Amino acid sequence: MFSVLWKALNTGVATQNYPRERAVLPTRFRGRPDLDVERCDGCGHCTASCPAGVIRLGRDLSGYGSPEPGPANRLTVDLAGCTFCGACVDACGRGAFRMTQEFELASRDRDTLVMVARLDGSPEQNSGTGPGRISDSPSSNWPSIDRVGEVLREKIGELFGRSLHIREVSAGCCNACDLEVQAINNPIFDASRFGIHFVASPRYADMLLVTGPVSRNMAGPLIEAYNATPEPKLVMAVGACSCAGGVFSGSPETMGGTDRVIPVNTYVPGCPPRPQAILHGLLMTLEREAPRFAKIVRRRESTPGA
Amino acid sequence: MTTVAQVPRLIEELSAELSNVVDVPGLAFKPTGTGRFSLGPGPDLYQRVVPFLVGKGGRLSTLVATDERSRTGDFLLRALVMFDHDGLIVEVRQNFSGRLPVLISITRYVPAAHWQEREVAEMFGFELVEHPEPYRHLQHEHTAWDYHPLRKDVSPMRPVPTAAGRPPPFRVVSGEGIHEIPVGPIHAGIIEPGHFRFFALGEKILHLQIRLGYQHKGVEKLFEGRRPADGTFLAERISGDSAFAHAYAYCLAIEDLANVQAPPRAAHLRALALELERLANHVGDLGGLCTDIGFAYGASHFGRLRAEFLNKAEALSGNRFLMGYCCPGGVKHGIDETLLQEIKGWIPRVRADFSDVADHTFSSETVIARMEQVGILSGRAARAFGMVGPAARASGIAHDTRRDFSLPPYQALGFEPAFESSQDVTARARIRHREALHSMELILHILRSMPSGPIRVPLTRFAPDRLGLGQVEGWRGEIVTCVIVDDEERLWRVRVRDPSVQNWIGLALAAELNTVSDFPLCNKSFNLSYSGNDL
Repeated sequence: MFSVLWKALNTGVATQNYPRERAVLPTRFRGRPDLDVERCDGCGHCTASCPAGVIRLGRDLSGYGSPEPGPANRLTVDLAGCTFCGACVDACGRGAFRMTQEFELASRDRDTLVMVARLDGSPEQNSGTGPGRISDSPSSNWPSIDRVGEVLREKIGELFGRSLHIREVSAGCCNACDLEVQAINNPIFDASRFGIHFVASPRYADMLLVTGPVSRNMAGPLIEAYNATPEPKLVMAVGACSCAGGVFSGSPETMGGTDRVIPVNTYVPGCPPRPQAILHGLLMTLEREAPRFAKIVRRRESTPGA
Repeated sequence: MTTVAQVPRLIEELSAELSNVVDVPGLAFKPTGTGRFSLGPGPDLYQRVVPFLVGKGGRLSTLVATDERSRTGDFLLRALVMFDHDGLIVEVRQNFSGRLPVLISITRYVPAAHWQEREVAEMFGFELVEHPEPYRHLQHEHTAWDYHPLRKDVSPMRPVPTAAGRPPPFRVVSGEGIHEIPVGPIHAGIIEPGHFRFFALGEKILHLQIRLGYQHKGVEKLFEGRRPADGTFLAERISGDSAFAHAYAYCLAIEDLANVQAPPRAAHLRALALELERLANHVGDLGGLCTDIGFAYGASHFGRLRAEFLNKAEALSGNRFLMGYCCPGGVKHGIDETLLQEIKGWIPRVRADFSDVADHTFSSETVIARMEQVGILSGRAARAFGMVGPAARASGIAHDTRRDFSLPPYQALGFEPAFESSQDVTARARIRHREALHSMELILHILRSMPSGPIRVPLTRFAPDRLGLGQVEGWRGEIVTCVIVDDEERLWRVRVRDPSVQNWIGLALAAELNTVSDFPLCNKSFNLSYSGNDL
């Protein structure tokens, strides 16, 4: 008994004060790949090496038409399905790719996860301001994680009675993402200090957190879980598979991503995303979705007899 | 270790009795590699020789079917039987011809074949006869019944044909007061999907059936056509918690085809990574067991400790799950003196920390009272079903691939597996405790004896039409990966046998006659992979 107490006192607080305290990353950690457009000659070695097939060389499309004839003039990297394996870095003979240590890549807009590089030197170098930007592009207006953390407590307090209840659905996941989602509940990351809790049934949930590319056999149960979640509800896709199919894209046995089955509010790329990245995604979803929820809650309150 | 030149006594004994079992002229065990022998192909070999070998102390480990119709006109089934005490692998081959070949099940004599036979039948379109449950195992009722994805004439890009079918029946246990409890596919915790059907009398589980396949992603088909080196990324994602072990088994298989051995330094680094993975998972499982019995002290401390191992894994490989670390021919990153010394200094600290928590947990009466005599799995059942890993070792089966088969560097380190004999949840918890301590000891040995030299060798040519075999003791048990490449050196067939395939039935048996409320505890004590099973 005393030894247990002694151990507890001796250990002290294990919890990292994320997001205020930044994650300590080892030098070998692989985050988002980055591209030096100057060095790229469009040889396509990276495209062939990518296990998730998210690097594509191509030409601009005119509307929905076919690409114009001529050599490839754009290289796109879809971070949503990227496994951060570094195969592109190894494949590139010209050192155009490098792995950065950025991992807080969650996005509410699927398109901002696509990194676009123009190979013919035309001015615009990326698609937008999301995590899919290329490093030396103009500064982004991406909300800083500290800012998100600050407003979070307040927002959840207002809207969900100080809590957000999540139902996790693993749909074809290799279980690495599941383990990382479990890890945000451990003493190190401790999601409950944000009022975030995992619940046993979609009936109690405010959010469905989906991992895996959605195997065919799980598509039905996932839709049922979605329908069983009361409105207003959120959906967060966690991991490369859930965002875009990941390494399983191309298999007819998977649906190729959660958004092919149910609408998704937030995408958290990574293979698997580290716990801080998942927390980041959760915090971000709440900030953005807050106004919509407030409206629904107000509407309910103003309805007589509700 | 056995060399190809000398025929081991066991094989001589088996050869002497072979003619009593099958009457095929000229049939003999042919050496195919170090400690590996093959038999056949010949008619009826599967249903006659495999039960014979299992009766002689073999363990049916893996069934590998291939569609060789374009080459020989037939399907070929290989059954890998392991003789753990002798470190021998015997491959029994049989051809099957016809549009719907008939596979005569041996499950009634060799229960270990039960799920793999069903998998072979549905994936290759065999008619399974004499099997107690001849239903599809991984594909569900909404898939057309004549869809057999691993046949070569099924395009990997074609959408799966659907049908309006009905799920196969459960074996119903009926009687007064007996009720059915369906659980899943979506479970209450943050775990993978699967369906459990309990037949219970009050609180007591009379019978449990486990239906999986929800995680089926067509992984084996997805491998086909890739370059061998590119398959590693997919192998890592067969079961995320065993990412390294699966990648290691896959790399061993293709190194076998290229007839290359990873350099000694790479073998040491691979062993280091494998033990780190084992530690993270064993410690995490102990935490999970504590969670399931409401022992918050253990749950949070083991949860905290697990992160330590993941952090070291990340320092070594750049990924918390060691993804991207194993590569064909060796490992991706070396270890520098700083990291080596850091791990060396860290092990004694983390071992003391872990031992404190484990001692407190195992000396707590509340913990032992909940675990003891719960979820008993007899050694006889574990042996019959060919169970592997800690789950089998907790039932007294002292089998460990690290010792039994010549996987460097474990032999040089003088490794001995741990085993327990009480067969219950306590045994499976204690096995994890002891193996974790072993692994920390092993890591120190590995670091002390770290050889110098290269960490990677190139693989140039892959021998076509040969079965490349990789066998690794992951934290959950023996992983077997078989690889065959075609003439263009592209992957032609990859067979992955996760330990879960053999162990799921153990959970169903262990849960019987326990209370429904103890089921989560039994489940956690096995902690099997759904994804690795469903592929």
